[in-house]
Amino acid sequence: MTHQFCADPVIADLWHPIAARADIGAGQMQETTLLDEPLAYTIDDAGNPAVWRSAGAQSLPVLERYGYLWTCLGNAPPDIFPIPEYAEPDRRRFNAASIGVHVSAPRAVENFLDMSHFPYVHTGILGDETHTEVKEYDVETSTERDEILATRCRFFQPKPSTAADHGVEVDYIYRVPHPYCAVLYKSSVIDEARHDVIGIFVQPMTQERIRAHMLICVLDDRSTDATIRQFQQVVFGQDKPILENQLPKRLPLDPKAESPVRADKVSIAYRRWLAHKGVTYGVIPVAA
Amino acid sequence: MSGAPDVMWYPVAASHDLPFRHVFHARLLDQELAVWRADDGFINIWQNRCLHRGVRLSIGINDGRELKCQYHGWRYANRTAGCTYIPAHPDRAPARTITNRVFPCVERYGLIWSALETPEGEPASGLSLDENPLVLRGIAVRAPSGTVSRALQDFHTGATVFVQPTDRAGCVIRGLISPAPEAAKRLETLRHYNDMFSALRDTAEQAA
Repeated sequence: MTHQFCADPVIADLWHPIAARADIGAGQMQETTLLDEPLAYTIDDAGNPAVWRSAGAQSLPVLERYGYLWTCLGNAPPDIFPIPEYAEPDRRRFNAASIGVHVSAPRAVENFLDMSHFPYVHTGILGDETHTEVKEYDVETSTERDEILATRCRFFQPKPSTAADHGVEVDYIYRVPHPYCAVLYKSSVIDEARHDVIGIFVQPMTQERIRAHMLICVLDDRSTDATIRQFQQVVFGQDKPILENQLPKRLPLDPKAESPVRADKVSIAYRRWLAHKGVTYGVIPVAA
Repeated sequence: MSGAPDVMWYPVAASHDLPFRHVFHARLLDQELAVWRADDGFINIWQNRCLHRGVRLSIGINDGRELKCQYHGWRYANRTAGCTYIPAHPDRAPARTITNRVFPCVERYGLIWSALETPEGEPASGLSLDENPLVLRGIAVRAPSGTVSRALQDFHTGATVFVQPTDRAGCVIRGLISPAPEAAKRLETLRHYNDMFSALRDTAEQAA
């Protein structure tokens, strides 16, 4: 079998998540795939991680951030994007799940940034069919921070989190600090001044297959870890069949390829940002 | 049969594949199709993706008048395939340009026929329109339609057989028995043809 390794330097030169650290038993060797390359990884008895290419055993750089192992197949940048809230000691922080999905990484990220599917895909949890309107929100693409920021997002949610016992209009902020990673900040039902933080870190196994790693970093002094995990897994389990039925699987970057509406402002900015960066892996580039 | 494949009628489903308010996932010449019957009896054959974000409409909801996409609730009208409602913007009428691609359709002899471009005339079947044949189970084969058609010519099946090309590597054998056998013989007939075409499938797939 011949492999088509990733020929996209923009993507190859990024850190990508490959596993939740908590899922790796000390001394165990495990295997995964990143950008069509078979990799192996382990954590030794002293707690130090190592990652290498399965073919030839060439060792790869490794970074531990937000509870995950990250590696890079090209020229590794000094660090990955910051999430300052991760350092706050009163937060519940863990991997909710690493779920395989037969879709491209950018389709999964775009779904994570989308509010208008809540009433239809997450009925009774993140939305309901009597509140479908997506109100005007703001999107900014920062060249200085090299990320997309969507602010003033508001949506009525019947059950916004495990800590909520009634429906509320929830405020959201979305960040896209990496072509295959997004972070959302939603108003906490426990502390009005703070936000729950949820991250999706997509591991591109191939152009059309991913593992989605879901970071939980929330304020909740009532629920067990299992309850919080289950909530996120139910939600992601609702997205998975939708994502696997999207055609084509790769994200088309030509603005005329699909039919966006005003509610898709952040998705339009995301596609434009990927095109501007020259990303080709997992997308259908704009025809020259 | 002659002519360009794009402008020929092929069966893409059986009438019994379209029970009340179902959406059937079909495939013809590499094109995925969403096939659904509205409550007024009209059969819609559409490109199988929502124009918004590409989700298959065959996982959508047929409410009898419209087809609703599972992802964002966009609705498309029976007959015209025009988008009628975008829930994210309930006060704005969808642009007229948001209309799905439709494919031609006729229902004959218990089969649903379609084509990529509208052919002239009727599906060539050798049957007369007043016949009411027994429709056999469609048998999907992972072998090209040309190979399977040639293999069928050597079979003296006693059935009227059509081959639906799904893509370059696959097809579906669709057979009709006319006149339909009496009720007591129906099950036996279905079993007989199921065995015959399954054996043909196995041979064709081994050769492919």
